[in-house]
Amino acid sequence: MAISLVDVDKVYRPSRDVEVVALRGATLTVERGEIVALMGPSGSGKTTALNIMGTLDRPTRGRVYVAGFDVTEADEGFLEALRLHYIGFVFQSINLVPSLTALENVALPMLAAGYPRHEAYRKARLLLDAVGLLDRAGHYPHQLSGGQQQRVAIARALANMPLILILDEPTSNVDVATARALLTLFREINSVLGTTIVMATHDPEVASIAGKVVYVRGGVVSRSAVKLAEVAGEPVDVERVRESMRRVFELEKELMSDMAGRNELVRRKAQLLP
Amino acid sequence: MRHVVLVAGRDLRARRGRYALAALAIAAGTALLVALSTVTFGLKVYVEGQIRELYPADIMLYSDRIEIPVDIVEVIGSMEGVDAVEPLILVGASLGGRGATLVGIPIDDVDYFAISLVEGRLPRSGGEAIVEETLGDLYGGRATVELTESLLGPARRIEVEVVGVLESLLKGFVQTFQVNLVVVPLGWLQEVLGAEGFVNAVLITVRDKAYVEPLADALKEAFPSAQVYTQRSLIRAAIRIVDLLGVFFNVIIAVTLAISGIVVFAVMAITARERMREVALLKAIGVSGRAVALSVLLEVLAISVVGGVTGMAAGYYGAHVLKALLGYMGVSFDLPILAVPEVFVGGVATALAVAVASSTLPIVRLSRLRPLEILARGQ
Repeated sequence: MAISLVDVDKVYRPSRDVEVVALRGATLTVERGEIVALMGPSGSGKTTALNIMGTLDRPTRGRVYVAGFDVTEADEGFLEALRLHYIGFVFQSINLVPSLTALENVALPMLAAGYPRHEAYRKARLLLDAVGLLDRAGHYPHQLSGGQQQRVAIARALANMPLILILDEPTSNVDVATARALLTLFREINSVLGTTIVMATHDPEVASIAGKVVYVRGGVVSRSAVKLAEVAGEPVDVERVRESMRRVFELEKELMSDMAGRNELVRRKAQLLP
Repeated sequence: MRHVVLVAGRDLRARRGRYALAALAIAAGTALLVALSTVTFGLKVYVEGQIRELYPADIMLYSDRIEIPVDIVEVIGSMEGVDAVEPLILVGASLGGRGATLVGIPIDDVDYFAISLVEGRLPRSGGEAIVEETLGDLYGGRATVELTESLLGPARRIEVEVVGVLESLLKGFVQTFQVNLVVVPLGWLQEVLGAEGFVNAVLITVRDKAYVEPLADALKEAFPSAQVYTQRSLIRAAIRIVDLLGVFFNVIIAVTLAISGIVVFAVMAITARERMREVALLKAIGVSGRAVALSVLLEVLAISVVGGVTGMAAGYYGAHVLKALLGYMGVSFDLPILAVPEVFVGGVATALAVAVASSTLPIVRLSRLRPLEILARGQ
């Protein structure tokens, strides 16, 4: 089990007399290696659920488990380390540090995790190659299109080989062709690396790559039995992506064996990787 | 740590224009601090040097009355550790309406008093006098020194012929030190004042400074009605006056540093506001609040080191400019501008302290930022 929400409520109090219930008794289990799509209209609570699963927010009630850890009341330092090593994020719009190049943005989480500089940049290049942007390694975010920025963000999210990838409306700011390329990429990442993917979307086509679709309405989570349509076409070089991902994975295993001795979280993660 | 350096370095480059402004503000504060501290230090060195040169004595025995027998000179001179003893008379007077000090010294020992003439010659006989530069207009003529009634005797007028001009005490820099000396032969002055065989001051020089305090104590005991001054106490008194100037300088420095601090705070507060999205993202992907704080702190330190070192160099050369400016304003004395390591270190340390203190609030805000607040706004 990668993530588990158990009877989670999330209530916001924007002022003393006002209460907004974002999640009500939400219970959800995401198995390892699964792709889960959270669907629902705007304001339904899917981003709140995603934030709680990503340890960016805490529930008002209920319990949350991520990668086997009870994170409900974990201290901020532990959650930061957990996010760094176990969880990769791709947000809807804010994704890259504007003063860093694409390569540096991807290398940053690895440097923060303590990877040797040379290896971090080597792996960052492989990841940029995997998302088809190696030739843009030296570009700053403002020199990249929206789709390219999203792909750099995906490479950045994969930098520390997370067990869980959390995607919040990952295709909402890109054109149809780019969106399809990104979906293919997510599927390959899941297939090659076994990464658990949880994404929030209101687009059925995006949700179609998910093995499980969950509806969130009025803060209530309900499982969908509906099988959605397949993604039309594959506008990326799948073989190249797979090959790059395999090389990344091999390099990661090498590096992880060095780091596992120094970091308990990394040691545990190494046991959970395929 | 590498990610901290990477983020700090890139942000410094991205906002170099704004950070240059902050560094400039720090440099201005540091430059003023270093310049004024260097000038103050130079003044102290100068004043101390001048006192040592003009008052070669380690101890001065002084009485309001002309009651110290000249014979004591021989007694003191024979004491252990004593190098030289010179008797003299110091009398407050006025000269053409100006306050003056009439001094009688043994003219044969004029070298002891480090008198250097700028004009004329030394007195050779009674009735001849040399005056300070401040009374230089009297040179070549006759002057009447007026003594008011005092413990030294009744009011009287003494005619002298001014045959030379000596350099002013402390070259006339500080008004307080201007004593308008009128120097005459001691024997003649004793005769005029009817005090043959007596003086009211004795200057004593010792071979070893360790003798100063015991000898001063012994003199206090032997002449309870007289005052005993040591060279050190004179220097201390003079330095105290320079320190007053230092206090004024410190107020100017404090105001300038406060302005520098406000500029740095404004720059860092604006930067912190702009970087909230970036920091929220960093924290969301697992970069710790400590690393964020360290990264911004690193930038502040880099800015303040650049500003501090620039200010240090500018301040040192600024002190030379200040000296030239004083010369241009008519204060012509050779103020030593020395490279004082303590001043340099203090300048850079103050620059660091001001910059860090001014940036603390923005740094704390960024490090405590909850990523969700910003990310939710940006979605």
